[in-house]
Amino acid sequence: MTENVMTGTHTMNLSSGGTPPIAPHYYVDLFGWKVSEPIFMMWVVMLIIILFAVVVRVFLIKRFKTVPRGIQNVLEIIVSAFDKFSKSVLGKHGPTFASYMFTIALVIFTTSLVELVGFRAPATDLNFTVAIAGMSFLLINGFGLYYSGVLGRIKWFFKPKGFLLPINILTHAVIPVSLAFRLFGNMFAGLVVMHLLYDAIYLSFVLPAVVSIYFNIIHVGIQTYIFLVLTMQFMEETVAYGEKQRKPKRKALKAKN
Amino acid sequence: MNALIAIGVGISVLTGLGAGIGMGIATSRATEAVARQPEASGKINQMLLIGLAFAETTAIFGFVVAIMLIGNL
Repeated sequence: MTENVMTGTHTMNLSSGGTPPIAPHYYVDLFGWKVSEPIFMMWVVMLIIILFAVVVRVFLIKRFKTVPRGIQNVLEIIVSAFDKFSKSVLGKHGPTFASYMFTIALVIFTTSLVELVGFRAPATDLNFTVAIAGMSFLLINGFGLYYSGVLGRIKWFFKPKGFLLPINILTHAVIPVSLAFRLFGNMFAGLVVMHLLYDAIYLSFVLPAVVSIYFNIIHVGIQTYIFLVLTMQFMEETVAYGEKQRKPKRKALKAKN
Repeated sequence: MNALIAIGVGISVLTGLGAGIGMGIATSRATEAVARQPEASGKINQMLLIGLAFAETTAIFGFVVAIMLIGNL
C-alpha cells in the first residue's frame, strides 16, 4: 500500500481494502492540541448527559412524588438496579461505590451509541479505555489500602501460600492492561466488522441495520457489564482475607456517649 | 517482508482456536448445571458470563495484534 494506514481517513474506498486505523484521525485543532474524533464525540455526549442531569436536578426533583410515575419511575429503576447489583458483588461496601460504577457504565454505553449515527465511538480509542482502566485500577488499590492498611495489603500478596508471590504480583499488575485491552479489543472488533459491512457495496443495504443491533447495542452492554463485574470482583478480592477494624469517626463516637 | 508480516497476522489470529474450544466447554457445563438445578440459573448465568469474558480476552489480544500488524503491511 502506498498510503500510511495508521493515519488514514475515515471514509475509505473499497480498492484500498482498509480497516479503520487504530489511531483515529484528527478532527479538531484546539489551540495547537489535536483532538481526535472519538474523544470529541465523547465530549459532545458528555455535554448532553450533563445538561440532562442539570435539568433533572433543578426542575424535576422537587416534583417527585412518593409513588413514582413516568420519568421518575425510570430513574428510580436504574438507580436501584445499580445499587442492588453493586451490593450483590461488593457486600456491605456496595452503596458507596454504586455511583462510580453507574458513571462508568453510563459513559461507556451511551458514548458507544454514536456509532449508530456514523461516528467512531470513544471506546474504540485506546486513550479512553486506558484512562478508565487506570482509574479503576487506582480505585481497586485505594480500596484495598484503605480497608486493609498498607501492611495488610502487602501481606495479601503472600496468601494463600508464600511461594505464589511472583504469580500474585504478575496477576495484579496485568489487571489494568487486561481491562483496557478487553474493552478496546471488543469495541474495535465491532467497529471493524461494521466498517467492512458498510464498505462492501453488495452487503450495505439492509444487513447493517440488523447486525448493528448486536454490535452496537448488545455487545456494548455485555462488555460494560463485564467491565463492571470485573472491577467489583477485584475490589472484593483485595479485602477477601479479612478487613482491618476501622476506628469509628469522632462524630459517631460523640453521639454514642 | 510483506509476506512475513502477512504470515504473522495469520498466526496471531490462531488464539481464537483455544478461546472457542474453552468457551464451548464452559457453556456446555453451565447448561448441564442449570439442567440439574434450574433455580440456581441466575448465579450460574453470572458466573458463566464472567468466565466467558476472561476466556475471550486472549482471543481479543491476538486480534488486536493482527490489526496492528495489518497497519504495517
